[in-house]
Amino acid sequence: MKKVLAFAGLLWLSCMQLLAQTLPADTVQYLPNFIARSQRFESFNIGAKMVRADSLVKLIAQHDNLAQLLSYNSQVFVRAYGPNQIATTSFRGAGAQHTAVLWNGVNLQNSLMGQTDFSLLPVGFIDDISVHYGGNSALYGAGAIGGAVILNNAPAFNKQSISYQIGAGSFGLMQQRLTLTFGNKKCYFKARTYYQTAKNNIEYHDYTSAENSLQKLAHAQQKSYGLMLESGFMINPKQEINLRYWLGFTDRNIPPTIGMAFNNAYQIDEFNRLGFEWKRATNKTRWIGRLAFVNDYLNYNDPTTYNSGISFSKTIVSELENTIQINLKTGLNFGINYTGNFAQSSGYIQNASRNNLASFLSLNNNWNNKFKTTANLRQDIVDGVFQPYTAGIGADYKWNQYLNFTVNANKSFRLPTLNDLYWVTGNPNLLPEKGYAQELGLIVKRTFVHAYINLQFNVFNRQINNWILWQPYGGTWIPQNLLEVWSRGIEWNTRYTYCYNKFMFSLRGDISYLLSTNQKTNLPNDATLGKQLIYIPRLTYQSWLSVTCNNTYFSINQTYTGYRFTSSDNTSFVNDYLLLNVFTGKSFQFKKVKVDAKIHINNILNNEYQVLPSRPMPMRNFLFSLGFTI
Amino acid sequence: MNKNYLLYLIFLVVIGACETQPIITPEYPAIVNPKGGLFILNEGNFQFGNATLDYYDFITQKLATNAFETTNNRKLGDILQSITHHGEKGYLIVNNSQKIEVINMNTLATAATITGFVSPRYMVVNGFQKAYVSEYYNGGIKVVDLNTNQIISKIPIGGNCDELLIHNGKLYVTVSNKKLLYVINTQSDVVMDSIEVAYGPNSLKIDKNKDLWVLSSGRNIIGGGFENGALQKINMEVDTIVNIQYITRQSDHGPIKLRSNAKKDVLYWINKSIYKHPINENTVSSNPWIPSFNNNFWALNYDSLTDELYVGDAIDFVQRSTVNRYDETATLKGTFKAGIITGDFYFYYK
Repeated sequence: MKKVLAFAGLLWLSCMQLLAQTLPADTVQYLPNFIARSQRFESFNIGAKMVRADSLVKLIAQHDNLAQLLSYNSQVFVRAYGPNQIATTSFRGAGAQHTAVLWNGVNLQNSLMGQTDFSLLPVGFIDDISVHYGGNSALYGAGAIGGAVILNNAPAFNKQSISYQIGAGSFGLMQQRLTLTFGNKKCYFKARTYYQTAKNNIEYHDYTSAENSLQKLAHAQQKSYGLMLESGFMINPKQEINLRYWLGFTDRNIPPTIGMAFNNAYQIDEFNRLGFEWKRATNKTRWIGRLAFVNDYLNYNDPTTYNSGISFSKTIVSELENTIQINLKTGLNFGINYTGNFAQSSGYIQNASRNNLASFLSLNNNWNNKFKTTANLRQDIVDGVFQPYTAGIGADYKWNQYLNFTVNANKSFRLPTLNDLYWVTGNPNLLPEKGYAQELGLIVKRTFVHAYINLQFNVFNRQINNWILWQPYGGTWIPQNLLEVWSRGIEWNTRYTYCYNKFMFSLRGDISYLLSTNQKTNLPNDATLGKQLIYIPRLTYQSWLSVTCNNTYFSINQTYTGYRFTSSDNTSFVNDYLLLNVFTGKSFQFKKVKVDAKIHINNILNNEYQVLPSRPMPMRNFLFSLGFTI
Repeated sequence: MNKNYLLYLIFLVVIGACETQPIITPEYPAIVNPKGGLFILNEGNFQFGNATLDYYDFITQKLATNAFETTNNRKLGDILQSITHHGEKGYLIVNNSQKIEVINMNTLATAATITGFVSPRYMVVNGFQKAYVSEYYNGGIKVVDLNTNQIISKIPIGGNCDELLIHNGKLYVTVSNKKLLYVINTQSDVVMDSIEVAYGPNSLKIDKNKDLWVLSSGRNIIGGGFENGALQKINMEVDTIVNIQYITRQSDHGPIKLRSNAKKDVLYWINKSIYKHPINENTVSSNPWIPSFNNNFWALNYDSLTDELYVGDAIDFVQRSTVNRYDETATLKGTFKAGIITGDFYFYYK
């Protein structure tokens, strides 16, 4: 039984256990032994802000998709097109295409569009989620100008369990999830599956009609299912292999926007991802080999307008990296990566492909107990052409036992997407985008007998040149290296945890203020110079108050998003909104079965809001769930 | 530390309450003068629901921005495509809201909403109570009873129906994804003829000699290819082309938005730049009358009272358009700002 409990990772079993689990999440980047972490993304990332989703966050978001988790729990702005509709991300004022999504080290960014739809990624399929701010192509690869979302699956050696969950919620939401885990010390097999249907018939006011009536969103039904199979084998104490397969299918009707009488469009997304990983670790060196095949299919069809598009994208990734502890103070990581993109689209005249070969090198130095530095370097060769090299440097200085100063700077790049290059009206002469980012951090940490406090303050600055934009140019829409975007801002993150007997109280407050403005134009009469990019809020904040005791949790979350401009000259905007969400849950032991019950109330204030113009979002809604684990 | 945290929480709340939103007011107060004026149709962005109507008063020379919303306390909808006026009533065709808003032309107050369309583009009125509305998708013409504001019948036509014109008992229908101009008998509402023209007929005008001019874009969406645009002269007695002038496309959209001057002897259109063609000239000039310097000209019309040409530049299509006024010598007379994606101007003279 203990094994089962450990597997489930439900750390709200006891107060102290939660505390113990919460602590490392905030201190991850300061672990002295970099080799202990499994990925270079964490250990060679000194000086850059990184936040890992703690266990309570993951537990609460278990039924959600990653878009919902990020919108409540990170300073990444999530652009949701509606309930369970497409959701993309903006890191620190960057675009949707500037977010790298790395699943066990493999980049999942769609090569045709350059962006990732986070509504297609279920939280329950991922064991470890961390958000890396600031971007750094030298570490995460091309595309990571804004930041990176790192998704990992943990091997399940020595774990056995069967878990079934059923959830029901407002607007016709039904979700079932089944997880099977069989592991011994030599090998494991784990299968996760889910099936979800939702009507998404949320209510909204049609403010374009004379009646301004409250009506139900039509044509928004969604069906999705997913399967993740994982298996691993411990060849010997030094070597292990992991094999993972992920299938996702989502069929969505696209609802009308406010003011439209109807919409008949629908979209089908299907992906197959197969990843193979080999690890060999000794005391001083660790090799990791990765091989992955990613297959994305997207079908958008509007029977009314005959607008339709079908695209297939196949990606092969192979990577070999080695991390060496040269001496007590110096660590080195190097490797090569091959990524092949092969795409087929109804908007292309012929099939498109791209072969990207990259080599990378990172160095960590622990100068003394107080001062650590890191340096990253990467060179990409795309279809035989050398791309701009990318580089990053970072440092962390420990002023005293409570106070750290951090600094990080990097030069990043993003390749034009295959659509930018090969669409019928695409532009094969596009240059890669270049990003130059810097950040400074101040971190205060203090541990008391019953309490723990962590304050982090960051200032960032970033310039993106050659920003690719599809713009009409004398009446012709073509992608061009048009904009120069200057983003700068401040972020403040606060964590406070207090333990009293079996109770644990935790408070979280995150605030971000940023400006992201365009500095260049080639159009006459253009009034966009120095203006904030559309859909990027200047001010956002979130706060969390959580109480856990024994097997019970209670959480209140407040998420505020400032107004977002909808015109590039900043003359119109969508209103700001405040969401208040309440989450509570409890687990019981019933003979051999552990039963979890949850009640979640989102948007308890019943505010009517939109993230993007004319696309209504859900007012007050509920989720009930029951889970059984043996 | 606890006290500090409390202060910090208060700070969070205060800063949330403090962020003031910009108040974007019209440049001029909303005044609707009964002497008539200019209706500026701003399409807005597809699915943003930000179509707006601006009203420019001839007498007071004042511009009421977003006048529909100011008057009626609600938003107009998605993609304001065109306007038709009949008596005191105005009909705003809101394409992607699949509706027509009926307004009072003098007060801009709404009187009714006509629904049941798929993708309405243009409307023409025949007699006192019957109107024809072209449907871009779900091709065809919907016949509307203007007394009841109901759709009463449908005339099926395959293709994207665009601008309409009524003359002498005949309704001319451009189909912008075909090579055809349809002719419908307005007595029987039956298609009686079709005239083959260059690909993509989109707009039409009658000149002072009662000849019909049809502008074709050459934009062959279905074929994925591009052909030359053309300006065609049609004799409406026999419905045949008497003259065709091919026009080289200068942009994606090709030649669009055919307009004429007050005397109906000079034609204007957009083909990236603005072109001018006196009807008695034999060839279409390849030199633009008002050249585009990366401007995205998207709206064009002629003010018969002042003999000025109004030209709208949609710039990046995501910001407020710039409107320029030119006299007959192409001299810039004035400039003002309109809403997002100004698509057309309608001069309402009383």
